[in-house]
Amino acid sequence: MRHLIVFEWTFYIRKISFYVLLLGFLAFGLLVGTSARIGFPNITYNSPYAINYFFGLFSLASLFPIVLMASQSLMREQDHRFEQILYTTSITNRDYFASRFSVVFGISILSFLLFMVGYMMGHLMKMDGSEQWGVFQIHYYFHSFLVIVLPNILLCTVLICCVAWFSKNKMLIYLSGLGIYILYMVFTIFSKNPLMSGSEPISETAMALSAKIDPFGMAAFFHQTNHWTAEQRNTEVLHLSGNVLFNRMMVVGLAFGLLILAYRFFRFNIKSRYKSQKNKPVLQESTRAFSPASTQTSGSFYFLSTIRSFLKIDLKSTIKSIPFVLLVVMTLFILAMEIYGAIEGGVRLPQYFATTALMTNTILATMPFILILAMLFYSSELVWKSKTFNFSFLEESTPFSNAALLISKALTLLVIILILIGFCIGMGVIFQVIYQHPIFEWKVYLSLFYFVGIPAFICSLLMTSLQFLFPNKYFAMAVSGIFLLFTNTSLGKSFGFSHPLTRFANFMPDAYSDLNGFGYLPNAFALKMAYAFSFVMLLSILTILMMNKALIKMQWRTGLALALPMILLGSAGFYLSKNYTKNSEEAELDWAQNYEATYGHFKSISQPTITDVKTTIDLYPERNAYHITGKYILVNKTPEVISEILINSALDVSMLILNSSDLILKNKDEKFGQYLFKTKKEMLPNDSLEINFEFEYQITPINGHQSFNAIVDNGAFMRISNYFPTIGYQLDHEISDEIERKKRAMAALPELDSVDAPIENPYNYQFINLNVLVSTSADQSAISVGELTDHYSKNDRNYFHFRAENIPFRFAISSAKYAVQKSNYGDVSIEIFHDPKHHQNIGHLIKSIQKTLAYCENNFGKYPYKTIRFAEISSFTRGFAATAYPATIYINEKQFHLNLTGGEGQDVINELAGHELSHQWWGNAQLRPVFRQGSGVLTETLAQYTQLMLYKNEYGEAKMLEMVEVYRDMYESSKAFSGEEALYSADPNNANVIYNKGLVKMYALYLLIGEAKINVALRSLLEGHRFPLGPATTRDLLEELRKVSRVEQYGEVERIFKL
Amino acid sequence: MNKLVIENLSKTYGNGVRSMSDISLEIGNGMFGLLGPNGAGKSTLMKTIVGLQKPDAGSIVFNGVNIVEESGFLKKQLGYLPQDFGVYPSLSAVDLLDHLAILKGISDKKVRREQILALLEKTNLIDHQHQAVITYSGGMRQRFGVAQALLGSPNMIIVDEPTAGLDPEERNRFNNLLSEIGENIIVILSTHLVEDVRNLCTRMAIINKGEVLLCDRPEEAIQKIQGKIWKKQIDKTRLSHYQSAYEIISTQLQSGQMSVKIYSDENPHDGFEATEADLEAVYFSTLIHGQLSKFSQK
Repeated sequence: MRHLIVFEWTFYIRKISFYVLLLGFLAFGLLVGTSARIGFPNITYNSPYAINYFFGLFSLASLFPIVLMASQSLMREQDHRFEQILYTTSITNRDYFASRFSVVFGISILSFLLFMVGYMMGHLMKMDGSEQWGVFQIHYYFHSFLVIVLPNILLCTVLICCVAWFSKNKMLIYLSGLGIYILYMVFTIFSKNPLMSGSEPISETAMALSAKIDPFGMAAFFHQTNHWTAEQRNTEVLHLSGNVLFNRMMVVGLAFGLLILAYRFFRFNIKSRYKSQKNKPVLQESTRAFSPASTQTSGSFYFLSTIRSFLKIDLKSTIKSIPFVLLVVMTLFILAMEIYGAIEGGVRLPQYFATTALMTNTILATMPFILILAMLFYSSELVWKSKTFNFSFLEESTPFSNAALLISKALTLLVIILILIGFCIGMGVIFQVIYQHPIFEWKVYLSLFYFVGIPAFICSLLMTSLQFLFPNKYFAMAVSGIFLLFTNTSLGKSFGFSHPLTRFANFMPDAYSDLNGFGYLPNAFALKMAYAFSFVMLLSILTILMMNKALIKMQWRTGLALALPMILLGSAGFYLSKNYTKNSEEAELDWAQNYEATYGHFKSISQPTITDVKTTIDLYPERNAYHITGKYILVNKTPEVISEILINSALDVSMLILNSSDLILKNKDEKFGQYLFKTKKEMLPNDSLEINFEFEYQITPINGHQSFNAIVDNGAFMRISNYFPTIGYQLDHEISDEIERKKRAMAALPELDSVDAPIENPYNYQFINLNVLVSTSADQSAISVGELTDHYSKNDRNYFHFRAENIPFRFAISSAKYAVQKSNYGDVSIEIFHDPKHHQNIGHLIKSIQKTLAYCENNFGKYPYKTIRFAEISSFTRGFAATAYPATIYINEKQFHLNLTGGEGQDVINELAGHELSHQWWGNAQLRPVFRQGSGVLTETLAQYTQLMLYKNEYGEAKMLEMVEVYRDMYESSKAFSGEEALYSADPNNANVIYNKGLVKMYALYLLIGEAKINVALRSLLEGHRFPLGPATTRDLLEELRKVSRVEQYGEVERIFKL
Repeated sequence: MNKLVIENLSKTYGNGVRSMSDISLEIGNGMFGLLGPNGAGKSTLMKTIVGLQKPDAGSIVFNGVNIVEESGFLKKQLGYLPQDFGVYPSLSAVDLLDHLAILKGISDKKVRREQILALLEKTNLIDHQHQAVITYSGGMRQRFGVAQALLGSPNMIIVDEPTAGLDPEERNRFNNLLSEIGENIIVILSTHLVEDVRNLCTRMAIINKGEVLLCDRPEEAIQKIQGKIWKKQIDKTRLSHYQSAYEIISTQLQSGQMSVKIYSDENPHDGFEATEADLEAVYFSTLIHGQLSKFSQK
């Protein structure tokens, strides 16, 4: 047997591709180890946690060499017809079995070890003394390798080798590799992967089960470390106990079990190709006369008919084959799992409606990767089919053109793609039926053929051309794979390939919105596809010329054929590069650093405050544009004299006019959007002056849009005050990441103000009076903040006049084809603006609003406005479920997709209404704390408390406890990443603490002193510190709580907030 | 009248093996036999003519066109049966023949169908027309290969070891089929079976180790060695003595008794009697003389 292993080994060491593979893994490890973007907040790069995570993830990469080697090593006899000789020697099952398996396994392990070496080298190279790196401990890496990687590779090797031994079919081997990956994806859905954004909490039972049976050990890893602190994640290796131990033993046991079974059943058989002959018929005299048939071997008819014949032959044999059926089954399986996951949400959420939008987005998220992998395999098999089956001697003695051959292979792949997409659409329809939401939007489903089919086709044309270009099919597969990895995946983006010129045929993202459809995205999509298509056309034409050996002497016709795609490529590329204005992350940071260096001195120069804003906002949703004019009244609320005013304009918009009759423009700095004015007359304390401005904005499809400036076709939402001119030095332009600042040798930011830092008295809230006239298209309504004083139509547009007094300089606009439902609570008018299709939850929302208003008015104080509006916005705005402004709450359409009738999960609408509406008390224009330690508690934590009480009053103590547990788990899972802090002095940006820990702590407070007493304290806090009285701090909150507690409870109250 | 002119064709493989060494032949309508042992270079020559391989030097001109440069010209009027070929799985004879027929340019569907069915009948595959070709036995597959080589209206048909794997009955049918169509087109038949050349070919060439050793009409080649072939029954154990003394062109065992045939310009006496020269004698003597002349060149 030793000889057999050595013999196998010699096969490999003679091939260059073997060394390339090993080198590739080393380089890949190096790349990952040196990449700064791949990491976790608050966790060191070389912590056991990070190492485990990435080793687990990249142990999947071993699938690639395993599949390759299995299809070569284990199929070698069959491929080269050596079976009959080898199998009739005295070689034993055991020797054959063991030798082949050990070589495949050994090389896979070797590849990963090289990856690990590269990764370690990368770490050693990049380590500096900063907090992002811990001490280098080699045993972290080896521990992870032994516990996570080794069993994974063992199992994958066993599975794929079994497929190879028993099916003896290359395509099935490839598909088994894909199948294993799909299995991994399925378990990802049911485990809590912290790097997957938007993953909702999963039930404990689901997590525990996944932890036991996830063959890759990742679910077990996440489960064990779920509540670990940052310290633990940074220093502790996985404990071999509990689910981790069970899982790893199970995997190893399963692998060995399968191996033994395979060994038992393995036979030296040769696939018999011959069917038994029926009775040989008696020779008959021919009845047909044979005569030559005339042929036509040039011209377009011949060209097209050869394409058609290749297409027919290829499709017939592909679609009838087992591998194809298996591919369809696997695709449908993973899609079904993803759709199920998307509908069920998480343990916190009720089901989502099974809308076409949901199905479409799931297909857009899931299909591309599977399609690319499938096409990678099929393209190589199709192009090499003739040679593989030795049919090329017959085919190639006919005069078909290479162009026809290439086109036919690409078209075959296109048909396969379309069939797969068709099946996926079918799956979507089935789910819609099963979940009883049979409202089918066929146009949207059909658009999938375009948005998924076109990029898939372009990619397969690329792969096909490369297969024809290179004489080695595995090399061509590798080149295609690596090219697409960098240009078509988000991994590639994190390695720096983010400019549109470096993106190749990217699929439409899963951004379909019920309100806005795909919005402006198809425009950008079409352009990017034209760019990629012309590139791949050029490649195919060059490939055909190479095949025809006609590259040197080109005819004018070929020159023309090349010129056309070149022109298209050139113009598309030119347009993309000219109009793409997004800066690299590095450039953005440089800008911020320079801004601080240039304008930092203005921090100490007194500036006037905006007191009144009068503005006209003209929205043009169908053009994705808006135009704004306005004027400010500025008042000098400082005791100093002001002679210089620095005005900041947002770089995203085009500032057209910015002037004042009281100011002279001293310097306009376009790069930073800064306008430095000198006052004509010195501005004394309490003096005022007016400035005028005019600016506009339009979304350019290539650049995409910012969530908060989403002037989309329907359901537009803009935090428009973010784009208005502002006065003085802008703190939020600074680089806030301390690590980045250190890297750039910048001074550290001043510490966050402590709870007891002095507050000036009287405190300048910088509130404004707002007077805004919004106009929008004739079929839409626009919603802003405050009271609606007037609305009318003019010149085929709708106008809405809003006014608000004494609100923060923070206002927003939405615009959509709204339907509206109205109700009231006492003399407060309740208005819900929603998409006509999203009517299901409105009634419930209104009830929740009424109950919230009742609770808050009874316990805290009067609702300060005459109206409360909820306005739905499109999912083109991401980042929040809902956001509260004076009198208006904007709510993301996704909340309207929830099916609350099922009774599952929590009543998210109730939560939302409670939380957001209570912000009209805790935050906005009433209780508005100064930004400092603990200030987030007074807004978000108190809103969480209100939400909690409302929930309890609606659903009872038991359900409330469920909610508390969910939030507790959310806090514990993320505390390592967010940092643990006491509520009292928490950084207001630490969302995990002020939302999640906050709710848990308020529950503890509720248990301690009871709801009634807390509400008394809160009412008192509000009455003592609402605008225009001095703002509150957490010290004030504690004082109020002490006033309603017994002396012996003081200590506990302290501990709740200070631990 | 079709004409194929091969001039000074040479090819050397990377490892130094010369598969074609200065081959020159002129071939017109009719059956032309290419005779030679395995490894002689017959398949290489055929693949080069067909355009599947490129020669290092020399030219091939078919009806006035240099088909080394323009292989497409020949492919438009070619039928080719390679020595060894495979087929796609799961596809029937009708499927594959239809595909190849389209590739050969038979555009009319009816005409195509007619010809395919006629060919399937002629090759006795008509009852298996819908069965997957990959499940055919060796002989059936060979017949399939013959059928596809006859698709269209080729002006040149090249068949490489066509009767290998066929039983005598099938071989007969094949030979009849070939001679039927072989009159007004060029048919090049490569084989190591002398009797096939004798039965079918109007002209022939003998090739060994990449060189053309003889190119002539079979009757004339036989005539040239008439009277130079001698036969004797000998003791098996004395074979080596005869091998060193004479040019042995063949040995034969009959019921345990060995008889040898030698080539000799004059009567060798020594118990030999003159025997009728046949094509086999031409073949073996040419091969040996080719070898000898090689030795003498050294």
